[in-house]
Amino acid sequence: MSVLAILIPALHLSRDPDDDLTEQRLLRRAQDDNAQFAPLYERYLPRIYAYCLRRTENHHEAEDLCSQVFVRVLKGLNTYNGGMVSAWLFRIAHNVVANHFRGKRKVIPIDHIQIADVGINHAFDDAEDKRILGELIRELPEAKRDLLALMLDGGLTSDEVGDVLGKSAGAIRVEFHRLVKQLRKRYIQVTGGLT
Amino acid sequence: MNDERRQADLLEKFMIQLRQNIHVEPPSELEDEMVEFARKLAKQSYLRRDARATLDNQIQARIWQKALQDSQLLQVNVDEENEMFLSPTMPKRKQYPLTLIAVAVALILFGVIAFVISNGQLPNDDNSIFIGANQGDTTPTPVLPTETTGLQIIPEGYVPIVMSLIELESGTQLTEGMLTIAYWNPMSAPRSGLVGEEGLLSAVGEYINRDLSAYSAVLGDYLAEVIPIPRATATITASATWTHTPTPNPTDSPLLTSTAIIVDATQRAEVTATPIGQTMMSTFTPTFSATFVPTSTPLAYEEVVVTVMDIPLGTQITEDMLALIFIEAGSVPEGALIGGNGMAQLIDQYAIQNLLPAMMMREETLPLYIGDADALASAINNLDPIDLTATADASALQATQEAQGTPIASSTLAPISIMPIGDSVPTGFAEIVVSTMDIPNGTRITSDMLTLVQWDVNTAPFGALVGGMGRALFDGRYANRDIPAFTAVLTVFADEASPLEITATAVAIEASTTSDIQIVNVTGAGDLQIEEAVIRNYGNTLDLSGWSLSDADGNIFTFPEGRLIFSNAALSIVSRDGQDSPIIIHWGVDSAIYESGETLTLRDADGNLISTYQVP
Repeated sequence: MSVLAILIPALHLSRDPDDDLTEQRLLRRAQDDNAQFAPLYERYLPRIYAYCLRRTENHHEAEDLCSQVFVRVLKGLNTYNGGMVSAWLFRIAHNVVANHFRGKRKVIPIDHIQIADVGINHAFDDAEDKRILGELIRELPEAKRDLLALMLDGGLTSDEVGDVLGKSAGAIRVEFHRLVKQLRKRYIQVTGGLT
Repeated sequence: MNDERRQADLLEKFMIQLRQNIHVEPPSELEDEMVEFARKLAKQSYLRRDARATLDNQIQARIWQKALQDSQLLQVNVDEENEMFLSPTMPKRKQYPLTLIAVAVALILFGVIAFVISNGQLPNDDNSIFIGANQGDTTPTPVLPTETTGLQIIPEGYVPIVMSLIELESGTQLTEGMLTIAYWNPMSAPRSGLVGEEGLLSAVGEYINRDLSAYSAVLGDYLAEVIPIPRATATITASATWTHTPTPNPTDSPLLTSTAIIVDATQRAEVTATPIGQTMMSTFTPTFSATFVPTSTPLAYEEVVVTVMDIPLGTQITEDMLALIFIEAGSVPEGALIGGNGMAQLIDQYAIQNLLPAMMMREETLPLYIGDADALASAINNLDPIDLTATADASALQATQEAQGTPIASSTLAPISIMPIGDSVPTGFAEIVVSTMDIPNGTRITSDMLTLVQWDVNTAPFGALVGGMGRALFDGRYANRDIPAFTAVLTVFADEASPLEITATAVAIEASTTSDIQIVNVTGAGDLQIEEAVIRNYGNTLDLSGWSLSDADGNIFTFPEGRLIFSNAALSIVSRDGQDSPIIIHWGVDSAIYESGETLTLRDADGNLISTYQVP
């Protein structure tokens, strides 16, 4: 199976009730045989990897955290007792990442952002956008970065994020909306406008 | 709904659409100022960019292997709770009795060696080391391990470094007594220190000769850096075997006469070590509790599979419909299905995994067959076995099963076909065990009472017994991993299968290949900008060249030449024009196609009906 074939279902993120049922069935089977977890692994690894990568900004750390996540998943298969598989997996990922940062979070001062060479109203390419947005995201408080990583990189819906973080989906949607507005405002401050 | 909530809802909807198509038009009510920034943000998703670019097969495999390996280790040890590690090679299943016996004995042995063996006394219950008694007439007696290997203590994560044990003058010929090995935190260990112990020599390949490593210490420059090693967690590597053969009492319940021990052991090992002189001391406070479950078969007995309920013809068999009873080997009726761990050589490796739940349930809730093997055998032998020639007509039995439906599970889909074991199973299908006749409660199962049908793995009932040797889900990488205890039964069945059934199998595979493709969703019907149909492939990657998707109004979309749909992937057919991608293809029409309530039809290149879907 090609990498593309593995990633394609992962990128197709709209929630499908059939998908939920299939995932739950697969997870139930994996409780008896770890190998049955493989399709879920293939489906979720890119999303969990992207989530870890956003949180760590480091491929090696992201890979290591992914291993830890799936260790806990395999170890805890029998603790799954229903509900959205995606939320269950990302709750574990969220906890692993939180543990990873416990006591080692670096505080990055806002003035650390390297934007000196960015001209006002400059037409940015994707790479520049990535760098600037990455810096702006790093400015965010821990909880907001986590929310962004779950929705943007983990590809979760507000329902799923609500399940992960123990909040209502509506609250998550509003929180995410405010977060994007805040980021947009900062982006315009830094770059002089949207291009 | 206030405006902020409304905007928040629209933003999420837009972000989800952007994941699939970065150029998608925004919802009309979404405030303009958010649209371009949301698009910009979506483009920077690591899921779109870096994860896709970085995660090649090798990395995926590496993460998986590490997770699998570590999870197996962690399932045996108790890392966070008591910080004690056991051999990572031990099997992972907690309920595997031999493992637990080995663990129990290893711990017992360690305690014995540490505290007791010096005065030649074994511990008793007063020492909190407990080997309990069986229910019934037997009392297991602890038997000393027959073999013990590899008992050692190594501070976890520390590096063994060769160090001088006494002050050495220049020119002194080194002898072993002058050197020792101390365990260093790897972060502070001297960089060029000689590394001792065989297991680590590969890391410093020039010291392959063990004697050389022991005698070539160059340590003077580093003595000043010696720091005390803090209290370290011990790694215990121990293995032992222990044999316990309980004596069953045939007048008791056979299910209660055989025992195994499950030990819940909590033990903490603490090691204090100093780098020079290597003073290592361990302290253990083992506490054990033991429970007994019937898992091993008494000698001279066999575990015979029986039903615990009436099972109508065509029923998909689940574990809770069956149980094991122990019958003296000489009394087992000919042809009886043998399960369990003890005597069934063909299936011993699968017995515990698959039949233990049934056994436990039986112990708790069912009346026992007490030494009544003859009566049971007589009853069983009086049953009329099904005529095997009838099952040779695969199509007839399939029709029967379809007509009768599937009594168990929520699935309403009929199984695809019947096939004997030994042939390959279409990817995405599983072989489910079903009954081929009405089987009264208490019946001893024989091979002719069961058969296999192929079910789409996504619709197969949960809890179904899965059989077959050929299941090749996910490119075959996991084939043979889920063979249950009933393989033995079905192998017999396969031997008896007629050529007619094999012919039927070939048809089944062909038929199931195309049914792997289904229309699974239609969204945005009536809105050209967002409407799309989604088809999903539950089978192997397939060429859709010449396939068509049509609606009730005669609109037909023909998939272009060379268009593939990947294994276990979805493909969206978007009505409006746009740039195609591996997961999206555009119909390119000027007005919306789909209407609520109409039926979409997917046909293959030959015009065969593959899937239909009613637009919600």
